[in-house]
Amino acid sequence: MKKTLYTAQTFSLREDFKRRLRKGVMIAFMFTATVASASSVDSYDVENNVVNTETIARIPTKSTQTNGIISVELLADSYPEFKTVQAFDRLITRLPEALSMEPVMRFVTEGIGNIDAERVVMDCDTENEVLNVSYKLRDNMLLSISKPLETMNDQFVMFNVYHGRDLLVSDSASIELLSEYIHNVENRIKELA
Amino acid sequence: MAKPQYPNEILPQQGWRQCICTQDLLDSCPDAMLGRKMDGTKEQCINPEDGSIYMNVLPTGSIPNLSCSLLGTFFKVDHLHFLPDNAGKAAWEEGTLVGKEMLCEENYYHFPEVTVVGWKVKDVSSKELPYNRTFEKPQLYEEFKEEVEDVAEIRKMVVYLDTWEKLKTNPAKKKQRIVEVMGVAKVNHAPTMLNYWHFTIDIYTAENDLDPLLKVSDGWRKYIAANLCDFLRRSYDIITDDAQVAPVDKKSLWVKE
Repeated sequence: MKKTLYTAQTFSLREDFKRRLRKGVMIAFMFTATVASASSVDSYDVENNVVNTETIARIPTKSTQTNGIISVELLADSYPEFKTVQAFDRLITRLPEALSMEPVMRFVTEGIGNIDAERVVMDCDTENEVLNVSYKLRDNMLLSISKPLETMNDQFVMFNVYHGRDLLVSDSASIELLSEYIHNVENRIKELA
Repeated sequence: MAKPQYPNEILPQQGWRQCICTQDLLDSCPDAMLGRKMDGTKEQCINPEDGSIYMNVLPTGSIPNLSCSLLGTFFKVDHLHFLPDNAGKAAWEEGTLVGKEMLCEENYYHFPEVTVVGWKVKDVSSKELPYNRTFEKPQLYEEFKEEVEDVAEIRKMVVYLDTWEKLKTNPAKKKQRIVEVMGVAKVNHAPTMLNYWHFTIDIYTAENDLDPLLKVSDGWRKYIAANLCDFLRRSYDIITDDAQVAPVDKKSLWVKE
């Protein structure tokens, strides 16, 4: 089983994968079918285990047929984990130096787990090596998490919660505690709904 | 091309106070606003994805001792195109007369294209900045605890710090124990030779209420600065040249009686 690796290379391969799928190339479709079966997640052994086919396999797809050509579209936007990958990709496209912050990005996004966020945005202070990951939540709420690269030996993150531009909560906590808190809140909201 | 002439209406005057007290300022003008220029256009400074100021435009390292100017005074928004340098940015001492020679071109920059952002003094001043410290030895922690308790008394805050035995262990380093404490942001008047209305946004740690942080040299200092930085990046106003800024018109704030 391969571990998730969020790299630019990973993403570009996924993009390439999506492009091929959208062109309706049959071979790509067949490949998708193989992956989507999730029975052979290690079969896509390209570029020294960079690709996380397991993730791709779990992304919902929509297939259409026009004039005998089958097109398969990955509905990646509906997949929370993919939003963080996209956010990091946008960041390193704008700021290639931010690639060195990948360990921090993984620490935060994997530590926090999947959040039901409308949008994920990442930014980086490249001089001081601080990464910020913000999750736009429902009702104009925003969770903003910052972590310096040099603090990778501790479990802490700094976070602020905003409603619009008003600061509601400001704290520093371990990523586990923050994750637990967020998911408790999410579950409570689901219960109330 | 010659630089535009420096606006002498913002220079310090004899008979003015060394320092405007922030609390007095807030008492007379609760909506007083600080302005800061950012180099470049709005598109170059603001992230369209979420409306925050780009981190590289307002980096964590620039946060301690962040320069701003008090708007709504003689200092107008378009004065932010000017930035004192060399002798022009030296601290002004009360009673010092600033001569015309100070206005030479070497002592200031002029930026034709700037984006001005502002923060209300009341939002920034006294903003609490939580952060964690780790200790490996009980003795060091006890010294730290005493310092924090002394500062809390000055700040009129109630602080309860656990004993060494009750502190949580750092999961990443079992030898270390963790304590969560609270720093604070303050707005301080810091007039310079070419700008009487120069203020700074400063960070004070939990254990020191006299000397603000000047650099973010290591992890926990970066945390505390990152906290304030995040707030400033997200809770700002864009100030245009014709913006209506709350006037600060109580002269006794700066004129000695």
